Amino acid sequence: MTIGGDIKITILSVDGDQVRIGIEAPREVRIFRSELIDETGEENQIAAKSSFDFPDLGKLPNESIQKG
Amino acid sequence: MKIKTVHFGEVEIEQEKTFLFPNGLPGLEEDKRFALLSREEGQAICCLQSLDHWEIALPVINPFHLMPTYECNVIPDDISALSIEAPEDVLTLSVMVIPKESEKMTVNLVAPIIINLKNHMGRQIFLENKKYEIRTPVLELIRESHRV
Repeated sequence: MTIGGDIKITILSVDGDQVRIGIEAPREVRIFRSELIDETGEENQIAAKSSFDFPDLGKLPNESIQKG
Repeated sequence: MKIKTVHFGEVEIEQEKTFLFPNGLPGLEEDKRFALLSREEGQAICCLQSLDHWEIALPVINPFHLMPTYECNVIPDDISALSIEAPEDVLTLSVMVIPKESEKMTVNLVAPIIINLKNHMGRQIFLENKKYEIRTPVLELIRESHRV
């Protein structure tokens, strides 16, 4: 199956209830699982409400973290 | 302007330190204006404070500090949406979750926030790299990335 001329979708294999799908697309098209948006949304909400105490990552053994 | 913040009480912020996310952030679609605050200059973990709801503030960190080999693939759609002119104008931030036991903190390496420092526009993007995780343990990451 082809979408928009340059995105190609192929069924690679079917094994029971598992289907492997291959997607070929130009580099300028970003392909990611849409669940990632929901999971990131949940994570953002947790992050936004966490009462954190700014852990000092500079105190960790490797000093390269403090630089840059 | 003076703003109310979660972690620093009321603070005066300069317009240059505020950013516009036209689509908000996933899960926080109503929050479109943010300020980047830190307790001290040079602090690794900063705070992305919402200017739309003062009780919303996300801990963020430059992922390259945690993982020097991190790859953030900015695509033409991002470049045009944020009117990015040069790679050095882009600030990359990763959202952290810091629980009470802070050694269990995680960082979202799948969805970095990119900001064009020239026009102060930002968006959260999603990377295809399967090696990256939404809940990456920060301390393990530091240990692995900075192993000599």
